Amino acid sequence: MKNCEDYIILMNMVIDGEAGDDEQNELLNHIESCESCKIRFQQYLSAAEEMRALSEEINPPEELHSVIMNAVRQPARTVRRRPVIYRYIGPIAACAAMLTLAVAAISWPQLGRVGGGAPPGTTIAASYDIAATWQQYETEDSPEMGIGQFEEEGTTGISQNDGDATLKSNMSMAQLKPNTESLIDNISGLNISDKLYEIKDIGSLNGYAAYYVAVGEGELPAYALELAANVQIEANNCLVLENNSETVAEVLSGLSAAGYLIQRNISNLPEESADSTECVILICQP
Amino acid sequence: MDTELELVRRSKAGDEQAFEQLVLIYEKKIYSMGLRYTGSSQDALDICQEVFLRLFRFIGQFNENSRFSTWVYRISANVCKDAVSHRHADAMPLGRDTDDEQYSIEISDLRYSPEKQFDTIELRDTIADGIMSLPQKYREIVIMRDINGLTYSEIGEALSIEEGTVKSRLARAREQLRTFLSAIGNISPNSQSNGVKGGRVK
Repeated sequence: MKNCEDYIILMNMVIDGEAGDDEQNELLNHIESCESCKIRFQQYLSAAEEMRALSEEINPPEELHSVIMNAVRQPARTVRRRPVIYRYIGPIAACAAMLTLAVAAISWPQLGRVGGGAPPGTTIAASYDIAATWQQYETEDSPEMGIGQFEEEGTTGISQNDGDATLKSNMSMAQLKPNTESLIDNISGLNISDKLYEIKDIGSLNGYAAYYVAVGEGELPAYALELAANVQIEANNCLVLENNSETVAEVLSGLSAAGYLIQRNISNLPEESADSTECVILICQP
Repeated sequence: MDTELELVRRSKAGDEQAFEQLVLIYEKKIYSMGLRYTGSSQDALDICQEVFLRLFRFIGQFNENSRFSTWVYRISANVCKDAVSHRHADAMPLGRDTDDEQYSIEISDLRYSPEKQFDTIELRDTIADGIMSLPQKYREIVIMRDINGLTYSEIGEALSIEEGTVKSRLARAREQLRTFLSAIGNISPNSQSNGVKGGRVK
């Protein structure tokens, strides 16, 4: 036999039109004989009715549509809610932005701008094994690229423990030797590469909102690590962080300032997922 | 007139006018969701921009296996969560954020409760505060149901949770909301008249 608590879900189902006729009759029969449930049901109804009326009363600002469409039509422009010093530097506009990178951070227009720092407990539940081979190659559009090519394999394994929010990693990039000459050529003060890279066998890293690769040497900057969750620095593989533009820009700029080359132009990165709230920065320390 | 799916397909093909039609369909809904989620009109505006930027960017990935609206609300919920996380607005929820598996509502006997005679004059305003007082996972459920009008099935799909979880969370959310309104003194059984406006009471 049901007690009053059992009827609470049913009350909500009736209010929402999710109950069948039998269920609805069952509830109505109960509240006829239970004054307390009758009051509760009517209170739920009152609140739900006012909620929906409240929704109908909402009048968005007149500029809503134009603000949205302006943002959509200018996808390369970083839209920000709060003033920040970061500056978007697109691959094409790289030269124009060279002088400002020293003081400005990088932000990526395709990332979200709403949100804050990465929560300290950010984890990834899955374990990944990655065998990554990097290959820089020339493209038809960029025949000047590919000053030298490399293709060396490194076995990468990232295991992540979601139980204690610890990111453990044994990614080995020691074998990777990116073309330093081309990197330097590419850096030119920007630390952004427009060369096309390829990372093989990283399909298991799919499902994130965005992917970046940072190539460089030396310690990862503490400033960046403060915003990225649970990174095992010795393993030098991944930073996992919340995918909002301010946080990502801060981490990327921290890496960039530390001499890391930020790669976005990777040919075979997994498909980015609109559903995910996290992004990944693969760290390559050759 | 194009159906929504046709608009989606045209948008995927790069038709900006079609995308703008989708914006017109959803902009007020997303704004309302953002407003109730954050309590801030500026944040709601920001959320709208972000949601539609993501839609614009990722619409090519929409595989049509689910309803477009569900996909829109899923992205919107993520953006709202980001916004709330950023503002730390969820730091002090009124209710406990307990596991749904341990779902249990301590119900009181309302026959002798004074709140059943509470005033309703400021109920609507108080409800907005009540929504803000809810823990995030209850707030999003209430908003999706009562503000956006999604079915339990659609909510489950948008939030990637079982329909049973939707039911239990919604029940807990409304009970917490009822408790909040009772504590404020702005709920009364008499404020409900002829069924639920906009609802689907059979």
